[in-house]
Amino acid sequence: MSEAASEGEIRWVDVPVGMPLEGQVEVFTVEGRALLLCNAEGTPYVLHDECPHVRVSMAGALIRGTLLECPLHGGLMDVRDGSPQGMPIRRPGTCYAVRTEGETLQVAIPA
Amino acid sequence: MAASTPPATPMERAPDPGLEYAPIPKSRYTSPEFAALEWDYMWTKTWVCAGRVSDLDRPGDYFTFELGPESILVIKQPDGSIRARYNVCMHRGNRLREPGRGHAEKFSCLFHGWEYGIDGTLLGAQDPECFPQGVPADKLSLRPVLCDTWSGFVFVNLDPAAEPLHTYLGVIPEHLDPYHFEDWKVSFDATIEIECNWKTSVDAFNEAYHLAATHTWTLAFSDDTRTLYDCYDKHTRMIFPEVQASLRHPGADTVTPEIKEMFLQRVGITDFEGSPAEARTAFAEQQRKIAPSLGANLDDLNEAQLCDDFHYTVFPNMTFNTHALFTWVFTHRPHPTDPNKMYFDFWNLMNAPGVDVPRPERQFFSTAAGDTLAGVCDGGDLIDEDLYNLPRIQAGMNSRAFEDLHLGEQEVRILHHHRTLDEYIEHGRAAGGRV
Repeated sequence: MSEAASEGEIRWVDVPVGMPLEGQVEVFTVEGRALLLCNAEGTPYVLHDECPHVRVSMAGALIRGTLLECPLHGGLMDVRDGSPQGMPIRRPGTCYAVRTEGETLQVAIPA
Repeated sequence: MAASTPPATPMERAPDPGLEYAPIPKSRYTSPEFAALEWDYMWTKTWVCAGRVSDLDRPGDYFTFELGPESILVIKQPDGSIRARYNVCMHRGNRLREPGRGHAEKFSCLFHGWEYGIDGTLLGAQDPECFPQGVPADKLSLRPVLCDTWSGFVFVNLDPAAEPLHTYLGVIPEHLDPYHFEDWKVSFDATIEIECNWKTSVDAFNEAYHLAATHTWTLAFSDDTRTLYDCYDKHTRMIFPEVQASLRHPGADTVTPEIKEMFLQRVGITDFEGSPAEARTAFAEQQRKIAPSLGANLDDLNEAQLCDDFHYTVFPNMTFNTHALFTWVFTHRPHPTDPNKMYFDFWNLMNAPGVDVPRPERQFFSTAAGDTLAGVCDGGDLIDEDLYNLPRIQAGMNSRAFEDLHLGEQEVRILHHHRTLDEYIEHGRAAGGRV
């Protein structure tokens, strides 16, 4: 599910890290939120940096197509909508909308 | 030093295997007792294809392979080798990874957090001081499974004392190396759960006898009546002519509209006029012209291989529908507990080393759910005709009215498959009871 899309008030905040290599992720923090920038086939996505399975960081995860693979137990989640795509992930992750302003990638944070 | 001879698929006929056309009891397809014999004496002793080498690119890349009740982790190592380990945590037996493929820096059990390296070595147990007997890595590392590769395929064998893969494969490398499968790419990947025994499925693809009734429309461009059957040590072959109408078909010995549409036009020959033999030559030569654009190497294939389906069955469960530019590879896996169910794995391999072919994710289907492959993949409508038959064959075999299979000469590969299976069972029994 998209948290930013489901809530009315958002603020666009610059993503403070560069785009990771295709198929990889980069962890960053915005206003105390641990977030995960994903490069899925060249398209950026931002998710809450917490595996919905046992709530560990997804740092070091790899992405195949749009499937994000948790490095701890191998659960799969779709970076486009956070939907669980492979056990042991059963619950959806939280996605944040992104946009590009000029050269800068921004993420929508609930106000 | 003598010049090396290019590989070439032998075309001569194999000797008659001298099989008796005796009834095959249906219990071999339906009974849990026979399925247990197969497991104890055959599945746990033979090499079986587990996946593709190309799915293991970087160290830590892995896929699982499910065979009956077992699950195997097949893992790329830092030195480039491939190892296989039982997908079983040695603490309490939990499966380490769900079925599928992925990448791991280590395997962490989600039950109690025991961790294993990608070579299977136990790296650590949580609270090791709580185990008065210790947690010795030599006893508690992941159990190894024999693993080797041929032509881009990964094989595993659950028997630690098994003969080498290359010995096991017998004539297969000599026959199929000319296709250079190690360079081919997976373009379709599916598993279908079918309500039939795994051998019901192997059998269905081991003869051309069913073409006339099951796939009637294909007789306009393929020839069941001139199919050749060869039996080798464990494995078998069928050379199934294509770009050639069946002698049963009104268009026999002509270039039918279907041959023009489904073969010649697909490779860009739109104005063909000529004899049936010239049509085959034109189709073959046109593929040779196309091959460089795909990066395909057809140099070691003869004209028949560019037209026909060189159909091989690698005992016990691997089927090649081999063509010059594409090949369907099926593996037929047993259900963990039910002899009336099985898993049919279907890869389409493309001979396109020079083309970027995205690796598709595996799709799952079920005949019980009414799934069909029409529109899902090339040839899906053809496979659907077999998928429709298979559960009905199994149901009929379970009938009180049916006792045994009554096989003919066109079904010699099925007889040979049973004889090879019997050899494993007899050898296992002679070696001393169930393992």
